[in-house]
Amino acid sequence: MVYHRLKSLFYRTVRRRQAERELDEEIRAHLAIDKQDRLERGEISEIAELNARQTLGNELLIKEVTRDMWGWMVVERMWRDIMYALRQLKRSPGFAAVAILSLTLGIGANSAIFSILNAMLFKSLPARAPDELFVLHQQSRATVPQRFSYPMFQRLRDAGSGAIGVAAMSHVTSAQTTVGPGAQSEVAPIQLVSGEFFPLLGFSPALGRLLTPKDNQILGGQPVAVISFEFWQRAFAGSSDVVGRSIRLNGSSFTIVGVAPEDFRGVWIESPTDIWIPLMMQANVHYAQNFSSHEDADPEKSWVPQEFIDWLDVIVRVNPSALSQVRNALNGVFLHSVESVTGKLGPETRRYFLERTLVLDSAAQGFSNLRQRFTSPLIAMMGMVALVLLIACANTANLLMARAEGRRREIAVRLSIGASRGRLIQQLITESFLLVGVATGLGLLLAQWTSDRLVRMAFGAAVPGPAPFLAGIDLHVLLFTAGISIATGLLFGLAPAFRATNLELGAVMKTAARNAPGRFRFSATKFLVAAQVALSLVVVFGAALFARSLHNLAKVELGFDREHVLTVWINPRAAGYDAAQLPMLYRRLVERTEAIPGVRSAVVSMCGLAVECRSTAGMKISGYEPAPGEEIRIQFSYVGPGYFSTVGMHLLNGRDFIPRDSGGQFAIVNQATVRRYFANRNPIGQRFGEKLQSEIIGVVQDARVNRVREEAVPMAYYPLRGNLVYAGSLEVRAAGDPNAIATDVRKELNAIAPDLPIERITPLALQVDRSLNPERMGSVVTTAFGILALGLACFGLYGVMSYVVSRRTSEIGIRMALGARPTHVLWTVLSEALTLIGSGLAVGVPVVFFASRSIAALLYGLQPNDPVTLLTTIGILTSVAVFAALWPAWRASRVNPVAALRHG
Amino acid sequence: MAAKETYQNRIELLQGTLDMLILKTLQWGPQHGHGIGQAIRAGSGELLQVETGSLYPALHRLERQGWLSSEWKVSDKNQKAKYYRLTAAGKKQLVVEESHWKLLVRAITGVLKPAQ
Repeated sequence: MVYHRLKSLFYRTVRRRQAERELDEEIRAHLAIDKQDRLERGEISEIAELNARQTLGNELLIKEVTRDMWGWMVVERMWRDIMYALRQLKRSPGFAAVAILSLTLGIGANSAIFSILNAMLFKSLPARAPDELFVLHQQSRATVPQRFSYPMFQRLRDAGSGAIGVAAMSHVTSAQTTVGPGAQSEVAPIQLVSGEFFPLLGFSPALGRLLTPKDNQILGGQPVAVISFEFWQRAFAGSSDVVGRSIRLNGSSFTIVGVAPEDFRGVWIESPTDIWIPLMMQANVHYAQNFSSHEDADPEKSWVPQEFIDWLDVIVRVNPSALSQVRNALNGVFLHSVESVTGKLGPETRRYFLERTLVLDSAAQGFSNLRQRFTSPLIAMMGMVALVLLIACANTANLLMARAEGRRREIAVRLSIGASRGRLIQQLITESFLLVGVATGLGLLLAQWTSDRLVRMAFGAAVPGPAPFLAGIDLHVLLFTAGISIATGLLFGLAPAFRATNLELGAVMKTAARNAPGRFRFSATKFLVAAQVALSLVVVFGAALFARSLHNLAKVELGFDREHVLTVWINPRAAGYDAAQLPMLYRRLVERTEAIPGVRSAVVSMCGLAVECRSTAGMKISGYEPAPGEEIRIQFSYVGPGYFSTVGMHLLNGRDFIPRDSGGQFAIVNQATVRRYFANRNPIGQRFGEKLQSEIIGVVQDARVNRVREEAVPMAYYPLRGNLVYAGSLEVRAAGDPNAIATDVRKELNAIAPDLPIERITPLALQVDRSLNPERMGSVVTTAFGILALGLACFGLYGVMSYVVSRRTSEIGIRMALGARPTHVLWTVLSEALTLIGSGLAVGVPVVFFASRSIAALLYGLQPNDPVTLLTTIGILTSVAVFAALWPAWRASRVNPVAALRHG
Repeated sequence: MAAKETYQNRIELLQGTLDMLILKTLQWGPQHGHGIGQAIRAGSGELLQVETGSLYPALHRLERQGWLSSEWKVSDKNQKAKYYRLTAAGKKQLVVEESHWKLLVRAITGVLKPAQ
């Protein structure tokens, strides 16, 4: 394709050359014949020649008009303009380099941020007709689970609602995966899906077959798996005999039946999936996460037949025109079955179930937990990076105008020998677009390189498994980049081109080597510099706000001791431990760990800290009357004895758990619970719980257990022992640096429980640090933008001040000859720079106040109009800008009056 | 700048007739650009002066439309020149243009008559 294009271009160029030559020759022949005629008529040779030329007219113009008739002009002319522009740029490589560099950074940064935004918000699933895909959500006044039980899914699927298809899936979870006998096991993300999942999405396999409804019939009896293309390449090196091979997931053996298509990495954007297995295999792989259970549910038995375990996301394919009809039909089935299922429950609980309605939300772009959280930071970044591009545009426009200044005579000459203004503008624009074209190419490379790194930086640690989602360059990104490039080219190219060709020809031609003063041009330049200062103030201020937010977050009082705790992530459920074996396992884990030198204490708990492991329950509290419609929801965790002293939370009141405490009988609550539900009451001895079954024995200090950013929520801790709860973490308190004991802990645990895989061992400080990764990424990126904006603005200021000085050399010379002191000259130039900076700031500050309000929600611990940050920003910007103006000013103060006057 | 616009105007003014005159001139045999210009001048009794700046663009345009073909030949005065020749399509075009022209002349004459 490209080759053919080049070939045809080559032939055209060759043909064109030949045509040019022929035209030259034709005109020459015309002249010769005319001269011959005239000679024959008796004219003298010289006169004949002269007359022939005169009758011919403007030879160049004739050729030009004739060439117009050849038809291939548009392409050819463009080609010639490009060649011309290339020659022009080659003549001033410094200009070209600076312009291309600043545009590349501007365009590249825009494309990079947009590609992430695109992957999160706009990119459709690679499914057939993705616009027909919807996800079922439940709406109610109270907090309700967004998932469905398997029996409910079956009823919805078989309801004849008019939907094209209904499928269900679990959340993506990580499983200990072994690909063959003797192979090292690794953690791979898996997902359980109904048989309708792949047919609904409309995929065809890359190899073998995909799962069908027939694969999801027998409870626990159909160990088949489909693997992702990437996993096929990674774990099996793309081997073609992978179908039929067996693979172990959390201890159960599965047979691979096929490979998913290459572009499908799962429906969860930030959790690319490696392996899909039927829902019927839930108990076999010990899947137990993202679920809610009620009433008589038993999470330790298979979930598939259970009515009161909600664990499935339901995807529906609906023709958008039938949407409301399908929704009504599904709601009918849903309400009817909820009524019959909850028939035996009390009226209050029934109301909780019956108040729900189903809504269909678009799932065309796939599923994401992060979408909501990252959309507004990304949009804020997009805004900032757009400003950076604007600054780069202003900069390039300024450079172009300065260059046009140097080319005024050339342009005037070309205009006066008959080039049309339109043609010249075309050529100048071509030059601009050549710059943009090169910058766009480089910018895309830059975007490709950075977007991947930014995603890893922001999400890498938050998501287990292979690579986080891909924010690659796709059609959307290409279109976006093309769009901003064209806008950029027009923005900085058009005005200078029009201005450069708008000349009083006579005046320009008459003035000597030194150019006539162009007053208008000059103030346009100044305006652009002031605008750059204003824009960079906005960007730098934004960056400063984010940096200070991050700083505030990093030193937030968390309520636990992040310096001395090591968290060991375990998953006894996935390892196949029976609930009955747990107390024994926990006792051994704690005792043996505590025996390691350097370990103060160890304790198992349901969840590690700072990973947003949230379990909540609706509760009643003795002596607290909820307002109408108020629902008491308290987050809870199960912890072993000595948990609080191990992680460094202070017990404020009452006592800690002792090994004798068991069951849900005793509980310790945090300060937030007391503040909220026990105002002016002593909580010790009060009862709470779903059935008021727990007695409060202590109050513990508030801690930010979920996210650093999130204030402590009301929380209750229950004793782990006796509740047969699967622990997720072993918290180890070190006497000194927790990193120092990590290896010993791992070795010891491998020795005492070789069948219990350790997912990872992280010092708590690192875990907290990682949870701030998105904020850090935001801060790093915006700081980079800030520096870039500042650099560009200062470069612009430097340029314009140098220009001012070079124009006024003779004036300065006269002043100095008349006795002006160098410091005075220095100050005059600097004050001019300060005026520019000041006017930029005067515009920038109100804009900043207006713009920063939009990022108020993203900040932590400071107001969007924080005066200290603003003053600091202004201070930094002014000093850097003054520094940029210093060199030209200093040069002005060193002007040699004699030399200046002689050349002036 | 101004000069160019003038040329373009003339091309437009003459376009219809100049094409026809060129085609008509070439009916008598191949000729080079200068010769065509001279022939039109002579044929019109020195009344029509074809500008070179209109002639060559017109020749190139007609060639591109396929009504003329060209080749390099040496003239009887031993001067190498590009000779244009009427193609079959060009001959047809000439007939069309001539009939159009006659129609136009008749129409204009008709309009002018009653005023006299």
